[in-house]
Amino acid sequence: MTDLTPSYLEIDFLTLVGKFQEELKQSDIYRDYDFEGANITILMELMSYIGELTTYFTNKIAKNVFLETADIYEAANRLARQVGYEPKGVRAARVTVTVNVSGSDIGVPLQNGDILRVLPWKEVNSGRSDSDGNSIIYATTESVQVTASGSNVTFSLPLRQGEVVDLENYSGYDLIDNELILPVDYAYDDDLTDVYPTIRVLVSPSTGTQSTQWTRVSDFYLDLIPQVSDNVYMFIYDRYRRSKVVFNSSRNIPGLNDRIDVRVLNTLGEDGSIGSDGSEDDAQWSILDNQFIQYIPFSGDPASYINNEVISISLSAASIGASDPETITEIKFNSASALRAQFRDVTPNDYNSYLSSRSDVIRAQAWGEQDLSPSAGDPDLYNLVFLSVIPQVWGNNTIPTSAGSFLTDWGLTATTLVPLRYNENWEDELLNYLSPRKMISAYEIFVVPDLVYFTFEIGLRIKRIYNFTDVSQDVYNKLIYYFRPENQLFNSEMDFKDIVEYLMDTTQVSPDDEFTNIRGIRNIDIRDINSNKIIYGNNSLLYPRWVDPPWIDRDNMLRPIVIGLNQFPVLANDAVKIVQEY
Amino acid sequence: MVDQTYFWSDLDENYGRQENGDIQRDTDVSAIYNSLRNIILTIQGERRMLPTFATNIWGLLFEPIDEITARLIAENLLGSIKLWETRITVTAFDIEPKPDSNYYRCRINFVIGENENTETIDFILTR
Repeated sequence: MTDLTPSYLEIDFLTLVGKFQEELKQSDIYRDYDFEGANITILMELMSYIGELTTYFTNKIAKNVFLETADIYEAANRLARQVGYEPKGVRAARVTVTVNVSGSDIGVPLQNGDILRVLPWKEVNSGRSDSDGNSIIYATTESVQVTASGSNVTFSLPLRQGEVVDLENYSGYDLIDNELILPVDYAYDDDLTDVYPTIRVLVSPSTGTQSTQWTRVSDFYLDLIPQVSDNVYMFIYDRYRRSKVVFNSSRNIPGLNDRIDVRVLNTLGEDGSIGSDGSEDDAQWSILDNQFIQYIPFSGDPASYINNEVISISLSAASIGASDPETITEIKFNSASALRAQFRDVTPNDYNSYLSSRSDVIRAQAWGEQDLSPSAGDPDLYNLVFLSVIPQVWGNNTIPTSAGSFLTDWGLTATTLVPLRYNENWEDELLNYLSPRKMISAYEIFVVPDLVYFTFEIGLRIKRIYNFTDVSQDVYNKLIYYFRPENQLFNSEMDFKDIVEYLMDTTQVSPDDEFTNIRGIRNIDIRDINSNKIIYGNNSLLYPRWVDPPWIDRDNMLRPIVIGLNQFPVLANDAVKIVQEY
Repeated sequence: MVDQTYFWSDLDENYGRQENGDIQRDTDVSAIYNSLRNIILTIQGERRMLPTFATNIWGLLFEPIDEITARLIAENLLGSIKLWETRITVTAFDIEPKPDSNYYRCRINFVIGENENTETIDFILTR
């Protein structure tokens, strides 16, 4: 008797048919098992087909029971929520524009003490279009008020990308299990504490006329603050990729006859990102609402609206924070990070994962006394948490940079970015973002990241049937991919032999490039490596430094180095030189 | 011990029972008839995991019933039988169009390879 139980990885159609045939070979009752036209073959194939289908679906179900292996969005979303992570929907870009008001009307100057109030939910056209030709609209979502101290007023105004959409006249009857399902998905907003909200929910009790603005919370139980009323809701991106306003019976729920009005932003997501004014031709901001800035004269005259013709808007830095809905991979990573952190930033990993989950941060690093003074300790460093982040977009809205360069040994000039400081608003935003998870004694300090640029001179011997240009282009592209910020870490040990192995490994591919010409490499040789930093000896306290002592002076080994706590590796790709060897 | 009284054995399509309770067997020429019937009556693409199995005559049955279509049907059937039923050799294939009655009368003569017996199968193809 043969063993009819195949390995669970082999329960496919052909294996099952083979097993049936093997079994029938042992008997002479039905001999036609290997003729396609025979009835017994049809029966065998039918059972094998059902077996394969059952295996497929059983496997699919088993995979989607666990977050690590889930491959259906619905399952990943639900499983992430079970561990306390809220999957994020599309996130709108945000900018801080500079608004200049040169009078209350044409020819009518402002007076000292006049109050200008920018009203929330007013749209402005950025003058740019996305790839489909749609105008990229931004909107105010909070009221901003300034007092004139001269005839010309300039102030900063936060804007969020998206068109304002009013979803009105819902009532308690529209709630299903305390949830109000919105028609499509709207701007999610992953930071509830910043100055750029993307949703407003008003509830008008049936017994009165006064409507109340309810507060958005991240969790019905975590945000139990005595001063905050129980008029709260959560804004959720659900497993069917819909936006939902969710109420909870542990707090307040609108009554059946209460009117619920929801105002949201219909955003373009990543397509709504824009560059600064100088970077795009002829981009002129225009205000789409005649009642954009309210004017309250100091003289006590009745309030009116500023004529839009005396308002000018400019943008000096690119937008940040735009992101499409989280993918399954992102949900897996971010939810695991959230679970590890348990809503408190205690270890460096907690800080790193919580900060990295923001759409405008690619990598983060946290360190403290144990890292800086591991053996002796240092009272001056008690309770200090040093933080450094790599933003999605460098610039005035995040970390302004200046240009630098260094000359390589092979005569090329490598250009570099030198981070200067954190934008104060962005630093405050990050600190506010961290505050709900902050340990009470921790004092968080942001340290400007130090970019360590590397560039390479590479020698390639290629196989006869491959073209050197194609192979070197793929080596170059793969090197760029290796050094993408998403694939690098602060304070990492860099072993250049790993880079060679990575380049040679044909199984290492990017999601959108398989680097197929890598197969054409016969031999790869890093001839020289240059950096914009001095590499210190292994006994130095400074970074970057060699990990091991040199064998002999001026040895020619690819020895590993380690970079500092706030240092981040970057490729100076414009100075990479690849030459052919024979 | 191997039963030498027959070469081929297949399940009976009606799933009748033998005296010992097993499902009825069709042996030798009956088993080959089963196979031929499955090849002729199955539409190509109909069989899961084996889409090239059988014939492609279904569409031809909706063409005008004449000598040309009959020839195409015959070529198609012969090709399929040669490919999927290797136990027999077709010695003659007669196909007669009956346009007034909307069918083709078919007769296949074949020799079974194992015992060299000549057998005949008659059938009608209709829409």
